[in-house]
Amino acid sequence: MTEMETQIIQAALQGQAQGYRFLMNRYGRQVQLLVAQWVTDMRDVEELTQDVFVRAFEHLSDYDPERASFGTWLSCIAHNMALNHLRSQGYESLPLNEEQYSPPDASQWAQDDEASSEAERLALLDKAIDNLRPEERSLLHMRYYEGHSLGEIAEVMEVPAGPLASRLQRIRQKLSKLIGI
Amino acid sequence: MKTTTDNHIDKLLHEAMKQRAAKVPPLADDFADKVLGSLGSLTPRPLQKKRELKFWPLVVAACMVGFVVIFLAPPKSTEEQQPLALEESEVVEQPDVAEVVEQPVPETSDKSDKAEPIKPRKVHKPHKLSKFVEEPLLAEAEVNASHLEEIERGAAEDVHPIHPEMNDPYLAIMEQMKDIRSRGERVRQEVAQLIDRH
Repeated sequence: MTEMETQIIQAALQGQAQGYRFLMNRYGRQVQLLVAQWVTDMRDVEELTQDVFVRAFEHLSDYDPERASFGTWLSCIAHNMALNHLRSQGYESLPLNEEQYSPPDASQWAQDDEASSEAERLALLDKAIDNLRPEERSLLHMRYYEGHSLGEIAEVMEVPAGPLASRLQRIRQKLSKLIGI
Repeated sequence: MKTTTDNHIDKLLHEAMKQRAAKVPPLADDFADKVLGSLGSLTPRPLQKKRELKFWPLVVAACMVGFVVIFLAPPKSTEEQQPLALEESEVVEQPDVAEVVEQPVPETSDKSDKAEPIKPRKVHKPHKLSKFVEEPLLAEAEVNASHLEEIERGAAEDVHPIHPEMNDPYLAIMEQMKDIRSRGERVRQEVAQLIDRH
């Protein structure tokens, strides 16, 4: 976290909300993309992203810079709010630290003929990712797009890192098998 | 250890997630304004002080309870402890039996000719006094052996056994002490006489 971020957070805590715009410009896209792994409707994504920043502002005093970066803290709020949003619509999440979990059968996504080119493999992979559970898509997004470590992801998702790594490995194996590599 | 397959799937996943992110439209331009509008009336919650657990009241309370239990509870019956206390008081009241017992030191053969006065030796171990009777006190001195045997025989007869009815062992020892002292005094006088004769 930069010195400027620290000053902005301090100013916001003293009631100066205008500096908060800087943080929204900096982390808005990150939060939006994370929420988009959970919610497909883009209007809901934008609304949820706004709600995340409002919630973060309200709880700014709870933020501890020594415990996590501001981005990780925001991701944690976004993760929880997106999960609650889906739950309010009847979604039952599967805990990511569930050891016995295995990804859904991918045979239904596979095409009859094997993917020959890299582009075809990517298209197939994209389709397969669409069929993953939201928490699994979120896991892949944080790992492969944002480049977070497993420890950071575990902190965001509030699960132990060990089972999370096992789960990620199983997803990768299943996807590898699906696209024929 | 990562295999080629692992590297390949990782690379494809990187690319796939990048493409998926690119498909998500950017946030609206007025996104920040909307959020700031929502924040208009809001202020961050004041920083809540963490509750500090204070243990000292519990410690004080525990001490008070302990005090009440120890000092205000009715005392236990002391019947069992009384005999022991009596024994201890008797021990204290007894005169010190470790009084100095003057005992003639047996002379060595080298010193016997010089006829120096015999220095009494101090004995501080009263529990060994019973052995004192049996020790050949003048064995090494150059005195008349037959006379010494007589003295010892007489001394042994003078020692009174502990009276069976006497319950207090300290009193019995005191009686023996008196006998031993008188006997020792007699022996000393006789030895002095013998030395004078020589």
